[in-house]
Amino acid sequence: MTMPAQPSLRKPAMRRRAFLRSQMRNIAPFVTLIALVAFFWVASPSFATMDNVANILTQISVAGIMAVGLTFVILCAEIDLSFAAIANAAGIVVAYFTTQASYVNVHNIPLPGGVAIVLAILASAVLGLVNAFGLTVIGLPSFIMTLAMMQIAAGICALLVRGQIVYAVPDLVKELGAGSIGGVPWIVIVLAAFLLVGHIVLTYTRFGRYVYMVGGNREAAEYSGVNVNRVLAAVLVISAVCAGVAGMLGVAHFGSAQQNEFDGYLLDAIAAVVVGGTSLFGGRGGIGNTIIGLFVLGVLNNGLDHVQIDSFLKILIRGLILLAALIINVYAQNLRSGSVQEAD
Amino acid sequence: MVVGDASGAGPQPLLSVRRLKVFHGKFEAVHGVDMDVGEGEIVSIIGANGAGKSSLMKAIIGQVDRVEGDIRFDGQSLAGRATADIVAGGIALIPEGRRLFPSLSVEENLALGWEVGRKGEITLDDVFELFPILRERRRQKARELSGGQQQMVAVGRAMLSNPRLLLCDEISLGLAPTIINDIYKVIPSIRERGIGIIVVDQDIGRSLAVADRFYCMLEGDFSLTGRPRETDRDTVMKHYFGL
Ligand SMILES: Nc1ncnc2c1ncn2[C@@H]1O[C@H](COP(=O)(O)OP(=O)(O)OP(=O)(O)O)[C@@H](O)[C@H]1O
Ligand SMILES: [Mg+2]
Repeated sequence: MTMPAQPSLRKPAMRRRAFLRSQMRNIAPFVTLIALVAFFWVASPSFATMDNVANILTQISVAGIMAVGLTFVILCAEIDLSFAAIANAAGIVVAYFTTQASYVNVHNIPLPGGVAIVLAILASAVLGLVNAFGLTVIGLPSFIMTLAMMQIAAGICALLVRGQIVYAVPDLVKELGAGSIGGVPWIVIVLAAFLLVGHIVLTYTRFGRYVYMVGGNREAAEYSGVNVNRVLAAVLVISAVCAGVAGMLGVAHFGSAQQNEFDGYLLDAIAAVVVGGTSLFGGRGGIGNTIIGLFVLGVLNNGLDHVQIDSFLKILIRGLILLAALIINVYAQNLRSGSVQEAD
Repeated sequence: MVVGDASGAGPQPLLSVRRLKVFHGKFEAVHGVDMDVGEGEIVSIIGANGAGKSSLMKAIIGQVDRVEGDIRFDGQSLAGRATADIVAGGIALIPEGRRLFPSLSVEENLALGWEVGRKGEITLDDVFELFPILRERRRQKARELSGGQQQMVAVGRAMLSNPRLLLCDEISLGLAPTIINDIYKVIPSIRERGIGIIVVDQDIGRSLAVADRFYCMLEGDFSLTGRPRETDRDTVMKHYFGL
């Protein structure tokens, strides 16, 4: 009763090649990572030290926590451009509700630390809900809705701090963002926890499966009765809340909260997810890919500081390497659909 | 035109469609049709390409831009209800082109039916009994299955949502005749559970053979309705092509 196998898949060698092609999305980022590590290892004696490994881990933490939430969004074939601004807003909100030193010229409202934290997380969740409303109820493309939200969140930041810089955050946030236990920075542990929970949710829960379904074949998901809008709303809120946590810890990590503090993380987190091999077209990839992507980005950013290159040239090199990784991402998608018949 | 006693669905049909118009944007694909499906009844809808068969199926499951008229399921209006809600209420669609999730396993594809549907007695084992090959392939990715096996998964998924009404849109499209037989063989056993079934198929002979009643669709209207055994082939073909 089986249909004849595709002729091209009959020979084992061909089958292996087809398998490799279909795994391109996972292999390419890994090869990129190994190549980068090898290069910097040779190019700089200070790169491959335990201290520097710890550095890299710490450096990717803030972007990494954001990237966990973003992975959910991109798996659904949507995009969130607002998470860095939402992180900024959450960081500023938590500081706004914390007692600041007398020389800080911000009219803030000091509250107990726990309350400030809850308010900051709530604020990011609400901003995520507004994104979700725009996407699922009004029907705006996520690209447009979150672009507007980027501006809205920036506006909230601006209104709260009015060009000033605030420093104090609740003790818990301070400890998690800047403290360490047994030599391991708490922020790295928080990142690991987020990655782990993200992976478990995506791999082992019904909701996680729906995320892949909505991204892999949205029409099919709709026809079969999956509440697609609810899944889309959830991923946008997840992204916003991850960003909120990253923003709070980031403020503690850097020691201050100010306007536009996390703008650079917008590109970093998106790049980490995509470079890692999660498909921009949705439905493929996951936290494992994001981890590799984070390391590629972390090694690249960190390694370039260890070699003697014109610092302006570094920016260009970074851009070119990211471009190459993006091309591989899209190319892997084409390989897939070209080599194996998809059932949609 | 009506041939013979075409009112078969009983006084309180499972599905009753009245003056239904279906729109894609501004385009009116279905122009005000009436249709009934009873419990345990198999109804065939035939019609040329573009006649509006899929539009009608999509309208029932709540997946078109706009409808006018009335769709009642078990006496309840489906107006304004979301697809997820309609499926949970007991209607399942096997959409044109199968629409599986290629990177998920057979089992995961099937499980979806169970999760989104009405809770009922049909289990994974029932599906594996009807399509034994799926039991062997349960851990394989859907994209690695043949077209026929994929269609079996699509049928199985719909059954697992324990529908009271099952909509089958072109379940034999692009499949080899022996596999079409395998799939059509399960339809009567589904009906025996009291499930109403709508079969849409290009294969007129096969779909009429399995049906209690049929509707022939021509450019958005029903041009003929009746019972297959009381209708001669020429009449059907005339109304099929609008001659
Ligand atoms: N999404 C859509 N947007 C615009 N027009 C559509 C859309 N879907 C269908 N139509 C139009 O509606 C009409 C009916 O299409 P439908 O798919 O219902 O036909 P069908 O009877 O299922 O045909 P087939 O046998 O080819 O599947 C066609 O003229 C088609 O062009
Ligand atoms: Mg059709």
